[in-house]
Amino acid sequence: MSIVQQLSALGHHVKYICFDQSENRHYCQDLNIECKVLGPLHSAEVYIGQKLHSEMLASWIVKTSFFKSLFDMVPAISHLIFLGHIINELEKNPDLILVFDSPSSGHALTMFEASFNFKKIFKSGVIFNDILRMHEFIYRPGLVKVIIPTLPTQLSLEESLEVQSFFYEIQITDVTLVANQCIGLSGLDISDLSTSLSEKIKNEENLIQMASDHLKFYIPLIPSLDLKNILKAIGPRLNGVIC
Amino acid sequence: MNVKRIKSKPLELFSGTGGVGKTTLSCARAAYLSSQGQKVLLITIDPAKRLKQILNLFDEDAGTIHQITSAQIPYLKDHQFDALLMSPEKTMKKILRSDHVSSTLQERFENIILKTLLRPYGGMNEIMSIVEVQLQLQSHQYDSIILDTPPGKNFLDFLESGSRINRFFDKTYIEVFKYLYDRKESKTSGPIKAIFATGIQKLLQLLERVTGKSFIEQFIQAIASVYECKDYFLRAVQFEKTLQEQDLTNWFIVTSTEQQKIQNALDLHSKSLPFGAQNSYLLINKCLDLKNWQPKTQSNQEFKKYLIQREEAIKPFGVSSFLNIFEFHEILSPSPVIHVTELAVMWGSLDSSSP
Repeated sequence: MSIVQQLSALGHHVKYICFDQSENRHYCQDLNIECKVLGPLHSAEVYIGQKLHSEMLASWIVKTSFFKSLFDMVPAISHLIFLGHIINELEKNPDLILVFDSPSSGHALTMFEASFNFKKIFKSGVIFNDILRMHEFIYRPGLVKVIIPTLPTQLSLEESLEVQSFFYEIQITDVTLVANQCIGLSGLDISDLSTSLSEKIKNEENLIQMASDHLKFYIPLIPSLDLKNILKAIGPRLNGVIC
Repeated sequence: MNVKRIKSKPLELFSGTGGVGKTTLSCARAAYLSSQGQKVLLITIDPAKRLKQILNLFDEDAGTIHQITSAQIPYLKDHQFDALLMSPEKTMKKILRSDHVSSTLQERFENIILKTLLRPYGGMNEIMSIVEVQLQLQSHQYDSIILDTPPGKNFLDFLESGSRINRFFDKTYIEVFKYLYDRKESKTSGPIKAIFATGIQKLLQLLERVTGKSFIEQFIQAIASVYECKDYFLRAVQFEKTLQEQDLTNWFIVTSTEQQKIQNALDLHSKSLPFGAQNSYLLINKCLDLKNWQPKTQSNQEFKKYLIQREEAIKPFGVSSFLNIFEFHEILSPSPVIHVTELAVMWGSLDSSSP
């Protein structure tokens, strides 16, 4: 959300986009951030309607209990359709920047892998042509930037590095790791800390130093319970990330 | 706060948002219960497989049960527990290798659709996880099976897998797809099945305009093959009943003072209620001990105030929604193994507290 705010402040047309995370929708409303949330079955209906040139047929197909149950069994279908929606939005509005907030790394990896997987599955037909088009679009240089926030802990960092490797393997190379909630950057007087906080900061610093080849940006822990204050404080720190 | 002894149960689920400590807490729980002489299996369903770092396992170890000893976690001493990194493909192969499945059917699972969807991020992780968990529960080999689940919505997908399986294996569809597949293979079938097949065929003809013909043929084979293993999938629906039984399942919702994600934890909990999460425990991880810190500088004083407010903000929400709340303090070591060790000791101290 902070990235959306910063990009808006720089004069870009930006939209925040997410899976069905209702709490994020409320935050966006409070913060006056343009937000788009897509439900998977509706997305499928819209897509099939476009391909069959018939909303009525699409509505019938999607309402059949078999289609619904198939959709349930293979959630990757909805990820692929979601990707298609993102591309449609960008094709309609070339100046638009979509900031996609993935609920977990697993979601993001499933979505990007879906396009490769379904390319293998379909091999021909309208969907296959669309998937090829998706690939040509997504893997265009300069189109996709991936920002991976990580806590400054060993397990989080290792997961982030694996996610980074995944994107490199699928030829998305603009991937930035950001260490988030770093207590050591919160402007504290180091000489006046408790033993536990001193130890925590020391561990953070050691980890950041070890991972300095990968971690390029650092966001402090903002000592506030108010989301608006947090976004305001971290915004300027993200300018280097988004430019 | 009431501290109550937590009786271990045959199934223990750990859920929560990302980064709160589910994996280390569930691993610590496995280690603690093992140290008490229980036979334990720890399964990670999270495709991110953070457990592998802690237990010194690798991606290629997924799908196979490994014995975890003091070599990986010194706390265990002479005890051990089993660990499994979930692999949808290997779970399917396990089913196919069983005596009840013909070799012809095994060959049909080389189908491109099935092979692709059974990859770790292929999209069937949650469905196959419920099949695997039920296989393990039915084996009756373990006193306790502990599940380290994926974060947030993926956990809800996992919980919903039983209903999805039920809907998918509706007997009408089974008959139709068997008919479509058998007809293609030139076997005879009755006229009644032909009638039932009409609606599905119409649907497939429409979809063929979008997907291409070769996909539809592969799709029919894939669905017919899956339907022939339906018993294994339908048995997994029993898992839903286990979740509902208070005597059989412990639900642990994990949150962290670090992340101010109590609302997400409450949201996850409320969405889990229809699946049996009424009697859940809230685990607040990474609590800092600030009592003896008396900062002198203003910035540090404000920071301390914030840290206390952050922890205090969680508790009122938890009191009414959960059976009990337990705090686990922050572990000040970079080593995940030390995290597990110290958290296992904390599980022990919870158990030995008076009711």
